[in-house]
Amino acid sequence: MTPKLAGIDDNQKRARSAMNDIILKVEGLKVRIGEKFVINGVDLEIARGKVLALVGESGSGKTLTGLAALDLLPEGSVREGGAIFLRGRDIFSMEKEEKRKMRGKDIAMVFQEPFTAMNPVMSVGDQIREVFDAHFDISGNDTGRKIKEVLNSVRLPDSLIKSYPHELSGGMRQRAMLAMAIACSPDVLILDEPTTALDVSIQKEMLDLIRQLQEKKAFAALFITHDFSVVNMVADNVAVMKEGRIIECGLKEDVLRSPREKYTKKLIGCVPRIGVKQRRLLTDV
Amino acid sequence: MSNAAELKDLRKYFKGAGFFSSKIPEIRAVDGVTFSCEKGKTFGLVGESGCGKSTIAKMVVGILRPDHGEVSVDGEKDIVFQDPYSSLNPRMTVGQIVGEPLLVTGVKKKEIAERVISVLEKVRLGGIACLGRYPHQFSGGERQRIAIARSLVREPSLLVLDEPVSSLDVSIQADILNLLKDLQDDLFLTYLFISHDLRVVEFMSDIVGVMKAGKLVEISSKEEIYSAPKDPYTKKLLNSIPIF
Repeated sequence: MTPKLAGIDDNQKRARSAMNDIILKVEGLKVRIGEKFVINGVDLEIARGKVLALVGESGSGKTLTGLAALDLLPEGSVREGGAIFLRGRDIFSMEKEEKRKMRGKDIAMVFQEPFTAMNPVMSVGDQIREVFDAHFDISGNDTGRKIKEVLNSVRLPDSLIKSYPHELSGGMRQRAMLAMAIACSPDVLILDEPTTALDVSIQKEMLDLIRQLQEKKAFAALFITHDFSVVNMVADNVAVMKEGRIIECGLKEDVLRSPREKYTKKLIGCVPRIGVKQRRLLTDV
Repeated sequence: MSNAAELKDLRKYFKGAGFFSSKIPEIRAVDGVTFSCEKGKTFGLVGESGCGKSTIAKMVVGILRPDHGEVSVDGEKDIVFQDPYSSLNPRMTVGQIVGEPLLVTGVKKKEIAERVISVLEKVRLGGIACLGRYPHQFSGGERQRIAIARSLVREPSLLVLDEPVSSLDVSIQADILNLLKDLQDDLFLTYLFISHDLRVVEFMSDIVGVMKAGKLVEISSKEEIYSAPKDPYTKKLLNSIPIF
């Protein structure tokens, strides 16, 4: 039986978040492409209501880790070991149908490039409707109301229901993507560089919005980024990834203020900082 | 002239052309921009996408003709583009790419080879070893070094840098920014540094111009812009930067 949408209670989720329960747990994950282990023994856990920032440079394996959490590893990549538990349930042991139901409802993803992630020939309203139709058994009228609600929750007007992706600005598109991702109030949200393609002023709005939604809905978030100042704005915990491994992991405050690893120091020091006089940027420690 | 470049009331409008011309309104990409780049210094031009910064870059190096106003440059000028994957011809060797700007200047072949090697050494690409190799054999950061070498081979006094590090990983970005600073000191270059990233612009620039919708809303010393911004848009941009 498909559950009723009304059964989702944000307050209940918030209450549960007080207890430090782990929603997503990655254990010893190994993924190989050809001869190369692009993910080489990754362990992560995210508690309800917490944001874990996964930081690294291109090719470090951070996006693949995110995709693995939905069991959506691209063709050509082979999982060589490890497990991912969603509320204690190993996603790799799920049946196809169970996995399909999990994606979008229990765990959802926001991609970096909203223009390629959305369907260009479907209106925004229809794309959100698709998410509801896939997971809930509700009538047309109710869906219409729910679509409006979810659009408003990402600060988009109702009128966008009939708009197509090309009619939206980059920031609006990314918020529409976020609307689709949170439509079913998932327990886990994977955000893959969600603000990298945006202008700074829009980026700020988007990060504020993500943080607010996260506080309200108490989902566990895996926030993939290369930018430590973005980490500072959104994260509770940080994991630094390099060449398929987590080389450092901890509370945001600890990792940002007193990083242990050379590589983390370099990643933090190589970005110019506002108001800090620097003759050269840190490239090697 | 104590300035390497002077831009006076520069304008570029793009008209809605062709079939859909009635529907597309005229776009005032650059709408009356005046500033100058002092010799040996960096003028940082910062703004969000679509504000007209790249159109200015193209007019300064002469790729685009302004509709109104003028650009005067004292000496040679050249440009480094954002994406070193599309700015280098994949069928040409590094030697050919870097030497090409000299072909039209009548410099003798032997001298071209010498200058190419010397400029590759300046960008720390180890000269001779990479001459016969192709762009795809290099990483993104190395490719940007090749693009910088090409822009320097004619010994310009003004270098326009249009988002030169925006497509690079942060650690590579730092390498390139450090290199650009060293080159500026060694060769007494003037930079017009264009970027959307306020952090990078602060690091690189002496004078900063903030652009919005084709106009400069504020020009000031770097210190003024970042510690006492006057224009509300500059303030908004600065408030948007995530800091730690």
